[in-house]
Amino acid sequence: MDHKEHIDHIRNFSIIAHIDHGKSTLADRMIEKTGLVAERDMKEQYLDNMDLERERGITIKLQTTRLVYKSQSGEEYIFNLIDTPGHVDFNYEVSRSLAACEGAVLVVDATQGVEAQTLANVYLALDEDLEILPVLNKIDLASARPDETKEEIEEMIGLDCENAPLISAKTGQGVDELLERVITDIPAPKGDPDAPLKALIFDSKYDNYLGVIIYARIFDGRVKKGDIIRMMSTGAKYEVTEVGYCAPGLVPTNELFAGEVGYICGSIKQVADARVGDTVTLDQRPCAEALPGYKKVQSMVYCGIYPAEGEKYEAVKDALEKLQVNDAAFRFEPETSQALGYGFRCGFLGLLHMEIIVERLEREFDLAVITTSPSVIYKVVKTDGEVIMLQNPSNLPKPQEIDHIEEPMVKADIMIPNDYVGAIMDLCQKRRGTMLKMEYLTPTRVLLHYDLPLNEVIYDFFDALKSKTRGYGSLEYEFDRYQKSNLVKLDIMLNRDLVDAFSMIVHESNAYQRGRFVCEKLKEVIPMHQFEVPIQAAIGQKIIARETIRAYRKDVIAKCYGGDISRKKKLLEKQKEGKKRMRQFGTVEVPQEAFTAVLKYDENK
Amino acid sequence: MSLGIYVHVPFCRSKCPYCDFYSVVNRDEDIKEKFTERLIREIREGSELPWFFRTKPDTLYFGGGTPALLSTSQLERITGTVKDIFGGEELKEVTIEVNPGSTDLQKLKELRSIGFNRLSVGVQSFDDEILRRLGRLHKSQDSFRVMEDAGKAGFDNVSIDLMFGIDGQSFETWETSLHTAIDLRPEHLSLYSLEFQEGTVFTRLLREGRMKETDPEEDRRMYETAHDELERAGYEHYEISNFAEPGCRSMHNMKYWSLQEYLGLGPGAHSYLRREDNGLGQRFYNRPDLKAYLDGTDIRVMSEPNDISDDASEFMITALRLTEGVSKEEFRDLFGVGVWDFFGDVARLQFQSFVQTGHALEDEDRIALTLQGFNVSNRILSIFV
Repeated sequence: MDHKEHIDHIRNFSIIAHIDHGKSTLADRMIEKTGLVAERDMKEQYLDNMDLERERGITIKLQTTRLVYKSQSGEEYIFNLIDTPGHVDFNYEVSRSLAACEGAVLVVDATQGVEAQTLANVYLALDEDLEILPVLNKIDLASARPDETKEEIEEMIGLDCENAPLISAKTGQGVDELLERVITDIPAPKGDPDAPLKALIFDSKYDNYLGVIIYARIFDGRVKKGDIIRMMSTGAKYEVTEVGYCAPGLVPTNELFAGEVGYICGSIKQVADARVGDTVTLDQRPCAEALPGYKKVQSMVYCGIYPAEGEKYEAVKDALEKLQVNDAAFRFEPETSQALGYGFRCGFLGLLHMEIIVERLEREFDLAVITTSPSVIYKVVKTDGEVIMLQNPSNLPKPQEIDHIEEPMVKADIMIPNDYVGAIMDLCQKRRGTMLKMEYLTPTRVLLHYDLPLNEVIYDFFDALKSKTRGYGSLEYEFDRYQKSNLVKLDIMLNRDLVDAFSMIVHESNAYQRGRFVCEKLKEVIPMHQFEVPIQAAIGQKIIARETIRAYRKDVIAKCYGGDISRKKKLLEKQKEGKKRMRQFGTVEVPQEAFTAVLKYDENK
Repeated sequence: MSLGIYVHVPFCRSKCPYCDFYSVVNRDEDIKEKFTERLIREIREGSELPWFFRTKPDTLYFGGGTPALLSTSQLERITGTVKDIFGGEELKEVTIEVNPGSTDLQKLKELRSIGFNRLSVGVQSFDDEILRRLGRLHKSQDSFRVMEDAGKAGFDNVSIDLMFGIDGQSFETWETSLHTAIDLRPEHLSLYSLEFQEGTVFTRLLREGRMKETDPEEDRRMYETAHDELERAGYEHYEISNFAEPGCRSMHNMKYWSLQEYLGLGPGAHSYLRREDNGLGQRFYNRPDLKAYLDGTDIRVMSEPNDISDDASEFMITALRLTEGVSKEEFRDLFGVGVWDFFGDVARLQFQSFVQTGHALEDEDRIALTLQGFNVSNRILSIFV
């Protein structure tokens, strides 16, 4: 088979969908239908291979797989199914995965219709000029309304849905037809195998034995073991130690050609050296220019991560290093907190990314950590003209040294059923949003375009949106600009000692409310002490809110006879256990959950 | 050090709704006789334990349940066997718990005649409404009478139990009970704040919202008032819940608070004895199962043998219940090192924080809790577990 004929039988595509619309289930079904994994080995959602992903029903790390499909015409095709992460935090990674494809299967839940994320992903796919094959899923459910959903897709996205396959990824209904449609509707890749190597990194991960595994789409040229490759963004060079296909386990091969998708290893030490979106070429015979679209990812949200009582700083550092090796978007550096001691300031793509990293520290490394209030990066312009990009609220210069502070603003697209417009406009207004545009996508479905401060979005905005729309609302946002704003630092004092880990930067108009909220929350979660504990919120020297935890008055076992001290001892042991989960700030003991409790901010309470 | 012997008699006329000590309501005389025989056998068989006879008992305590429901002759057979097996020549304090209303002068005289020299009277309150709430069968009049009869019968060491912090009990009612008690001039008083124990009727009522817990502030006011008034009346507040005229502390109960040996007999009784090999504690107890006990089943459950830190921590959490607290020298004698060397700096600092807030005391010789510390003693004692 010559190269042309070979790549004519390749289809590179992604499945794009809103969370829960059945992307992973469909991928499972395709894998099963092509016989890659025996049915008995099928785990639910085969491609989501972290426990965390399976639990949360989202894809965090990409997983790519090569399927061999025998078509109804009898010819064999190679399907490279490139999975995409499923959350707004990972948009850039999604766009790079899509750039590796010729087409995308757009899965829309026929019971739910089009959601904001569906739209966002479609736009990303259209940006990459992908052929989009719409598919209506969950057709087996009684509540499915395929005709309405088709209309919606046509109206909102402008895709012709007349022949859209109706499937049930769960039962497998319609999946055979879909596989055939992948062949007919999605174009075969193009590319010159004899041109200089031009390969797109759409994912990379670290492996203890192989070093970094680069997942790449070869656009032009070819690559084999022994080649010296060069990363076009950094110029770094590596000798290729292995190439192969992902099936989804690594299957070594001699050479990867234009049009193919596979992996490349070259003893690369960390994923940051093989960044998603970068172009790989050959050092000896480089291509003229890199593929478009490479961006160095920016952390949007920062927080402090500190070893919990009794945990070792070094152990946390080791774990963060290991996570970083595999996550180019995660960054950290040492910092110290008066309250928490030695720890790390960590940067994330968004809150979900942050939660995932923290959960992985806890689960995979069995470490207990304390995270401080997440913060965006503020641009602080000092009176002397110096500009500070402030990641940690407690490092804010003195008020007299500050000329002004700017905060990051995002453009947010919020899609909701029209019943909830009032509630969401109210929410956005409380979060200092400005509505830019309201679009009726269909008579019952509204797309709100908002200009919102990122710092309002990270405080539980997504959860509030979900709860106010009974789960039907969806959100997309991206960074837009920095904007001058009236921001103040809110400090929290426990028993008159400032606890820097609780400091946060808030808009002046929200400061009182936020201060009250934090004091109330802390009153709920901090246990009584043998003395009264005042909790105060302050801006500078000014106390704006106060609560008091009363001293406990009685905690005694009156009767201690009959010589049965085992029960008494158990009770005391339980108390001691509870104490261990506390963090000592000055004289006050604070439970770990206090740090997350103060983030659960709901303005309706 | 001498041994304490505790005999648990698990019979009651009726079950008090707050009490979680093991007892059954049984009026069958036959059962009591069987119990007596079984108990006598337990005492005799108990002598096979290698620990026994190392020390002779100096206290014997009949608790329950309602031990005075046994006939005088049954009680005498039991005390007689104890003396036979363990030796009675060192016995100093022989206590029996009695209830007002079910113990007449005749019975008291008999008890005195067979060697009991201390009474613990379950008065609980001098307010009839409170007594009714507590499910007690007696009235305050019965308490006055039994106290008078005790004197007539020749008891010169009498303790009374009072309870406070009961739903419906006003501060004034409590104070009245307290004053009434003081006027009766018992040698010893035990004052208990009502506790909601798992499995009791009160706890169920509490969960169902049909009963309230007394506000801790009010409860402590009652406690602190009792402390003030009893001290003023010449009683020593020597343990969290116990007050005594000088020289009248409960010798038997002191053993529980100073890591001394005691042997519990009867179903539901607990024991602490020292092992011969290493001198460390061994706890064990009889399952609270009268039927199995009467069937002759071995109901003894051995706990894991104590190691030195178990002993040290049990010593602390019991001895710190005493007003005089822990003598540093005694701790060193028992465990070979100083108390803070044993428990470490973290414990010392935690304890210090309670010293600073006035909940605890520490000087050259001892560490102890203050009255304020008694109120929140669990918090402090948990440092040592």
